[in-house]
Amino acid sequence: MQSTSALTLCQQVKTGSKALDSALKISGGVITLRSTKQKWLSKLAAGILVLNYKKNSSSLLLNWLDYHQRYWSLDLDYLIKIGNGIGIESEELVRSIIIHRCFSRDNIESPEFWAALGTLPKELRLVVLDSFTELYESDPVKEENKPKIFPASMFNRLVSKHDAIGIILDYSKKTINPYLAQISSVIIEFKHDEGLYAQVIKHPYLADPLIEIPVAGQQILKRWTK
Amino acid sequence: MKTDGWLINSFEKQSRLYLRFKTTQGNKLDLLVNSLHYFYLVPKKNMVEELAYKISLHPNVVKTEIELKKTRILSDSLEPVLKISINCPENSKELETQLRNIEGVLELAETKLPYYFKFIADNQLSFFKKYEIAYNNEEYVNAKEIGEQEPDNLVLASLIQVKGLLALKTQESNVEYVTKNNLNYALRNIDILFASWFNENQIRKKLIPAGLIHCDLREDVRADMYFEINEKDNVETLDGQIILGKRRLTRLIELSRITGVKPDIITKITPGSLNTFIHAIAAKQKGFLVPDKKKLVEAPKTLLELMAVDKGGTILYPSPGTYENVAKCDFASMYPSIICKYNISPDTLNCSCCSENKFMIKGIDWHGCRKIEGIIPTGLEPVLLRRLKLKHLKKQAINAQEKQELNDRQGALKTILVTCFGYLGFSNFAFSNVECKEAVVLIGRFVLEQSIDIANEMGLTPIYGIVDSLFVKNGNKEQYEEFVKKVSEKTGISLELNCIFKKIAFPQSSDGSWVANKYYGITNEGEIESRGISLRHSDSCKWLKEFDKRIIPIILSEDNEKELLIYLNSILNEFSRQIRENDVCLKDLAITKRIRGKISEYTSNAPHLVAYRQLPTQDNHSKFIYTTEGPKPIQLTNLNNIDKKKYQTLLQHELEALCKGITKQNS
Repeated sequence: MQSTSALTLCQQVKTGSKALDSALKISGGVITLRSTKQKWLSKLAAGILVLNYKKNSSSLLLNWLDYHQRYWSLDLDYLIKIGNGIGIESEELVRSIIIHRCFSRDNIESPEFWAALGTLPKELRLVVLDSFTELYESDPVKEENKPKIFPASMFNRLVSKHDAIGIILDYSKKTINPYLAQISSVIIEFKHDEGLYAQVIKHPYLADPLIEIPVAGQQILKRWTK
Repeated sequence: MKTDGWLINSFEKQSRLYLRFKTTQGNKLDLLVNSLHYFYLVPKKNMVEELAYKISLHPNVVKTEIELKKTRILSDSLEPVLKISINCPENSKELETQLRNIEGVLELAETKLPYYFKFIADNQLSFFKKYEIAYNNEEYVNAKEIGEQEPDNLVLASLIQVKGLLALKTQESNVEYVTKNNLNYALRNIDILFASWFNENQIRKKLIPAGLIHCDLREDVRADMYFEINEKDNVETLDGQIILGKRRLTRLIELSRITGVKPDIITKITPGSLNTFIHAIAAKQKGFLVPDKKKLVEAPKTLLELMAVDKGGTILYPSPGTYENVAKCDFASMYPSIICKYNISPDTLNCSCCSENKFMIKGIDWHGCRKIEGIIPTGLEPVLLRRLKLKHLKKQAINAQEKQELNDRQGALKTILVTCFGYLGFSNFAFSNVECKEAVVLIGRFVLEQSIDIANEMGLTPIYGIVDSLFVKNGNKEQYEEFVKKVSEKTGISLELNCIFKKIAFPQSSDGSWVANKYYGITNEGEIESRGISLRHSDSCKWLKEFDKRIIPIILSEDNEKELLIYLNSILNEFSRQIRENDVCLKDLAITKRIRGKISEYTSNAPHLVAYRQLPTQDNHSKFIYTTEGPKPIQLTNLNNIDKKKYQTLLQHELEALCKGITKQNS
């Protein structure tokens, strides 16, 4: 039986685009949005945060980013502008969005990081992760690093704990990580050549995924094979 | 046995650590250290003894010892940890991997700190300090510090490649030609070698004797943003290398002494990384383990809170125009001073030990600790105080050479200070903490705002301010001196009167907006000081700088707009004619830019890179001219093929940049 909060969330996640909204009508879980255009996707995520605002509830934005490339990536002016446009007071809006930043894989793989998220308000509607792969592609691999399964599963657990909807932004040019693909209920890939179009790769209403999602190819560290 | 001398280097031979001393008699003394390489292991609760026994059975482990250490930055409590001493540092990586997989092991610590560094830190030694050295059959016993005096008997040499042979020269000797086979022998009496010939680590390790300090001048200068090369400094000749090398030696000595990093490593690491070492020493002194990985995470904040704390420094934009009798006041090392004065450190920010009388940080409900000095201020304060002392000595020095040496020394320490703030937020720095960085900026904003208030109270008018600098007018010299004194006392951060401008101009940007960091003025001493224009840019050509030097006094002295425009046009025409008629020296048109990385790694087609690819140089500087065939190195250009239109355009842009918002025509 679905919980009350899940039923409540079985509305569409508003994105500002009717076409996209119709694909994001789910009861919960993780939605992965893929695009190589970081600024564009980040703006879309900012819009999602605002459009899905609800009084007395919070959204969480996890910022996992390369410090040197884009320290302050959230377009505040844009966020507030959309909010004002649909009648949300600026202070209310910025109070409702919680931000947690990480600039290194060491952080997202540490228990202390995930413990800090344990103090968040229970009424968390939306958890946005910007982004999943950036730290993996910018940080050098150390022997003690954990594979992507770890943060993906911790994110999934966080979303389930709060009965929220999770949105993961993935800017990587490579094929989607297999485990990320597995935990996502919906995967949408945006293409920007000759106009913008969105491809629904995975969806609960699709019998099979649109394209083959690899199940092998996860990088395996030596110590995981011992 | 005992003797006096200086610790100048350390090296490893067959997995054992040696310290190299230079005695006062001029002899080299290599002493074996009877100490093992070690690192720490943090166990789960109640598992330390079990792990101590298990791990001691490992063939690479010589012994395990239980010690009490502070394992968490945010806690003062001592916890039992294992100190693991090993016999083969080369196999330590494999051992570390195995240990991490053992049940009950939380983490390892201090595996990334070099062997020699830990020994130096644990025994409170410093490179280039004078000691009374006790030893027994070439084995080190101890060293007692007997003075700050630096060694004066180091043998310096330089090496360059000449037509397939290697030419070696010391300060006193003639040139000696050697081959790779006898290089090791030829270097036996040398303490410091300046050479850029060794392209790979493998060659360097094979050919340079252990213990010799090797300084690759090209690499060393490339990394140093504050070092100004003189005409005599030359990496391509033997004598030039020694002259430059002597200057770099003062830097090596200053940095090696204060950071505990051995001198030949100083030339190979970034200035920012030196922060890691000074704070590692501070952490060890305070009983903290130096973690391998950064564990501190930023606390989740609402966007409202983040907007309140995550700000940059205060900027008071100047209204475009010219002003008279303006004092330029600078805070000395503002952010490092704030870190030390307000005790900003991850282990002390928002401490639980101070309930009353804490340093409150304006703008946020955070405080600094008044009881315990944090790791960051402990590491930084000696650097700050030493630099202030050197600057003071430089002001008092009369001799030009002494002034330059003191300037090189204080410049060396400046590199640590200017990077320490950024390092506070750097993800790979074990002690970094974004909240500390935010706290420093908030305090800095408050300090500048307080200074503006004090200026207003004194009847002075602030016209421009940027982070740690404030320009005020409407006073005389005594009032300005009184102002900086009042601000220094009130804020606790030293504000200095840098200079007084007879007249200063703040132009607009090309799109008409007000802009910070762009001005030019003439001081009471008749000197031109500027920011943001070609005169100040190190990569601008000499010809444009000459243009600035001609134009600026006229703009600042001529009040009649009509007359001013006539003068400006006449100078513009004069410089245009020089280009049109080739009446200019080619080297004065050259633009020089440093190439910081390997040229093969650059993908851009910026003019300096396009030119450098055509003719790479030993000193990693691209000196190029705009020609009708695109940018070319100066060596491949002559006056007949310069791109005259390009230089005319640069001239026009320069004039506009200087006059925009100053003259009515260009407002």
